[in-house]
Amino acid sequence: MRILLVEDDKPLAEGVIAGLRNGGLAVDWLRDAEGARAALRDWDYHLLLLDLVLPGSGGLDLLAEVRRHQDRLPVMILTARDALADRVAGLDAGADDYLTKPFDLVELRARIRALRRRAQGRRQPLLVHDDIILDSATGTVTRAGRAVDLTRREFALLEMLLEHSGTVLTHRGIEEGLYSWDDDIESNALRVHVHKLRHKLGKDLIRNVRGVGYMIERRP
Amino acid sequence: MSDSLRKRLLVTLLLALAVLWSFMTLATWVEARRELRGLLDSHLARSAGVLMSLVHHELHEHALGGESPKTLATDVAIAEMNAHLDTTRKLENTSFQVQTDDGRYTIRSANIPRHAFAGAANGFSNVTRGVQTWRVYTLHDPEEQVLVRVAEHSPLQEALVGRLAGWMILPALAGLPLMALLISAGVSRALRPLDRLTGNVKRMVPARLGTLDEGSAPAEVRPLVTAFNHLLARLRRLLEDERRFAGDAAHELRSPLSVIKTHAQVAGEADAPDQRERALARIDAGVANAEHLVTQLLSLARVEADAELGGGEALDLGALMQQIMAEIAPCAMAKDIELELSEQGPSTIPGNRIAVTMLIRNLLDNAIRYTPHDGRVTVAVATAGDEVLLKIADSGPGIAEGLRARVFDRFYRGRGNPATGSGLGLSIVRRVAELCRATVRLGTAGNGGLEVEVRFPITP
Repeated sequence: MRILLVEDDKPLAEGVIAGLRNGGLAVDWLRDAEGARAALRDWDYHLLLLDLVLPGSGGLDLLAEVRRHQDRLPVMILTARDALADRVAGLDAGADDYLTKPFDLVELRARIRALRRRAQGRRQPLLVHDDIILDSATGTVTRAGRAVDLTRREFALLEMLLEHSGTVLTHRGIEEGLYSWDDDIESNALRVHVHKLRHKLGKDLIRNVRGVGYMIERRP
Repeated sequence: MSDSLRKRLLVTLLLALAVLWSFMTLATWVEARRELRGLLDSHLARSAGVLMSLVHHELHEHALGGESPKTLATDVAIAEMNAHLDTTRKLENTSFQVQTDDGRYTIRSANIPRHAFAGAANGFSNVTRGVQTWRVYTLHDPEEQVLVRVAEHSPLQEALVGRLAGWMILPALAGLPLMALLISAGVSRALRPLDRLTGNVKRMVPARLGTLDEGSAPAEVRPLVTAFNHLLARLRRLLEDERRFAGDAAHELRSPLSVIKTHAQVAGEADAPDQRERALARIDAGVANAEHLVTQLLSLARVEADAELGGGEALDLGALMQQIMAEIAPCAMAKDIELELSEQGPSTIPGNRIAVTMLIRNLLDNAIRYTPHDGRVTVAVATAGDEVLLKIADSGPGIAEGLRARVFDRFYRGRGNPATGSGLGLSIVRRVAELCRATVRLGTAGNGGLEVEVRFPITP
């Protein structure tokens, strides 16, 4: 899951990035609304984390713009403004959630998971495929009741494929979802991750559409 | 007495009324006395006239009867005359005396003193006999050569006049307490708008300072109400300011706290030692930031609240500058920034050491904060007329002209500036300058950096 964080406080941004990476999320960080505008044009993000107090045009302006162009992008406001009027204004401007600083990373991640489920139109926090169960909240995967040890990236890849089961995800789309700008991507990294997942969870789990992408079949 | 309008009005009005009444009573009394005198005198004159005509009558009657005028002094005549006088005025103390010019015949009423009345030959006069004073009317008939005198005991007149005065003074005396009550009620009524105003002011709370209705206030109190409303408006602005400041301060403190909290959690979750180290370093920096912010908040609160900080000891600005620059030099060296101070002329200004130190400290901090590595900060202290001029120039990015007014606002930070500060430095500078009656001007240094110019007046 690829997240754009717009926050002008560098030390705080670094903390949030570290915290979200620990949760297997790919985070790009920008300081101001202008940069964010460009990034939103060029990349597909799954979530926008937005500070309201930004240099230049404020966060609410950016939010209004986002809502004009990208209706479906989930947006969470992260701000030190905790007055009722601010919270209401933020939500009414089109934000999906509003979290005031200082916040707990645990809560931030839980809210991000909730927004992600909502965006996909599901309620069930567990992703199930045959005897494989993925629990985003705990970051664990079990197969036939036994825990399977996955790296952060493997887990993120499996989560993406399960979320979109029945759909082919392109190589490019998967890479965009898994890696932020700061990550070095080796050319065969994706193939390696898929190989490892097949090895740990069964070779028929992930289907390859040669030259296009991967998918996990949908179970009724 | 001066502490109560009610008492003051009451006393003033009652005194005025008492004086007025006294005058009126006195004037009326004098007039009444004069009138009464006139009335009594005319009675006296009429009695004399009647007496004279009686004497004439008797004289002629007896002359016709061939009797001599000495029969004038018969008891019959006196009785007749007395009777007449009695019917004319049922008063005692009226006496008379009839005398022929040759002095052969004299008749007088019984109650008249033995001595003949002296006094004017004709008309009214006052005659004192021992302790008694008589009002005498003398009527002389030169033809018949008869003199008639009618006298009235004066105390009678005085008693009448005195009684008259009593009738006038008594109601006035009895009326005073009544008037006091009426005036008191009237004053209370007149002061009711004040009570209403008091009630309105009492109902105000700092959170909702309304305004007093100037229209309904009496004209005398309206200037006070207007002034009070101005004060209320100023207070409202001040409170609003304070509230916003408290909100802003809390908001600003939240930033370093958020950093600390987030990195504390990252440190807790970190698997790798280097990630934990980084997070701990961030926590350290966050605490330093919060500390700096709190220090600046306290400084600002101090210079805003304490007008005493404007007070004047004689300060050698050059020496103070040197001392502060020595303290701050390590920070500059850490960024390889060249610091330079030049002094010219005496630079003694009146000012509070703590406040002026805050001003210089903040300007220097800013200069070093915004100046890049290998930059330059130059400070000049010079006398210029009756001012001491302090110039601090840096080789940083400067401040765009359009933003120069805003940077003095609390918590305003330059856009996209990489340095972290409290956003309060220039607010503190501005406030200290106000206290010292100094002016602060932002300009552009020769190398494009910021040049801050502070002019301190030399005279206290």
